Amino acid sequence: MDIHIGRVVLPLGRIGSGGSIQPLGTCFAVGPRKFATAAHVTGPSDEGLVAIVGRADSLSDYQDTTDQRANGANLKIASYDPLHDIAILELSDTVSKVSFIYNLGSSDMISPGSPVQSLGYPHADHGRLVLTQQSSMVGARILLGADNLKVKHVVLNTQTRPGQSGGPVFTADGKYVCAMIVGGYAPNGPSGISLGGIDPQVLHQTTHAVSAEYIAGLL
Amino acid sequence: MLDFDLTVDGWFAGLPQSQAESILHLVDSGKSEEEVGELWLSRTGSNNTVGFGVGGPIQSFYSNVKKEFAAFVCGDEKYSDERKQASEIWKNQGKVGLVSMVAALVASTVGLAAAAIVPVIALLFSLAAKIGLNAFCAACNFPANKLGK
Repeated sequence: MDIHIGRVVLPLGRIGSGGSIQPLGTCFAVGPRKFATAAHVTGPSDEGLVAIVGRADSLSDYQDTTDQRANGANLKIASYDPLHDIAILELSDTVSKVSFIYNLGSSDMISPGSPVQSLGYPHADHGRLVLTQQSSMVGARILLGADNLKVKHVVLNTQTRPGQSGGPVFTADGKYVCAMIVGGYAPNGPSGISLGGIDPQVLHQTTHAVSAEYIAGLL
Repeated sequence: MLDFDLTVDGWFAGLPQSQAESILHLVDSGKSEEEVGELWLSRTGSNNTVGFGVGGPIQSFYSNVKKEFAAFVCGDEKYSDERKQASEIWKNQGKVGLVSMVAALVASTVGLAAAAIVPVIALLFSLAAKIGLNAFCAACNFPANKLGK
């Protein structure tokens, strides 16, 4: 894994009416000026959309949870595909660039049993911005229906929480992003019940991640 | 109304390949342009999957987008200057330029990202070209005698 991975896997937020930033999910760099996230994280509006920068540099750092400062880099939607649940975001200012050493792959690269590393910002719904690595295993490769399209996903044997949508799923060596976290299995949609912020329908040990090949198709 | 004739094919030529393939797949499978447009602006992700974003469910913006699109192509006076620009863009850049220009115009009015609604604008142009602009405007309740050119 890139030692400076915290510079390119960032919390995504939206500036509210009072000027504060409401965290929404996770995004990660897919080009010098572009980031990917899940379409359901942003919706089709980029008003007030920012990448929150400066929170973490390396995963080995002690991330200071008492420091609530959040600085945002403005983003605009460059491409949007709700059927595959992908939004491509671009830095609004014309000079900033990021660099990274991983490549985009696809779910074809990770068969069931393959170890993977996912990154994201769990509990962002409570304002917590801690870049967190989860090591897990591919449980299955599946085709999920999006209306009558069939979309490649992987089932990860790990539980995720609000804020992790849009997080990258790396091959074990960290060289390829092969999928992006989009959510959890919930037959017939959300239950409409919230227990301490948890929907019992998604309280289980698996996570859905969409194949990264669809991200490449939007760049 | 627009002072040039819309032709049927080629409205999706400017979309990224994966977007164009998804939309053509849905249209070819029997969905109308209206149904695909509404789908594009009202849902995200796959069936039986709940997202782990922090925001709430996506609301549908389709009716707002269609209303402004119809106001533009059917001759609402508030867009008369923009229709003149559109004629020039049509001559010089064709369908790709026209879709891009109208997406930016409509997006600024309805408060969405232009890039997010480009496919919907392409679908609406495709529909208007297919059934004819007069029929499209009549279906959108734009009576010709109340609108400027």
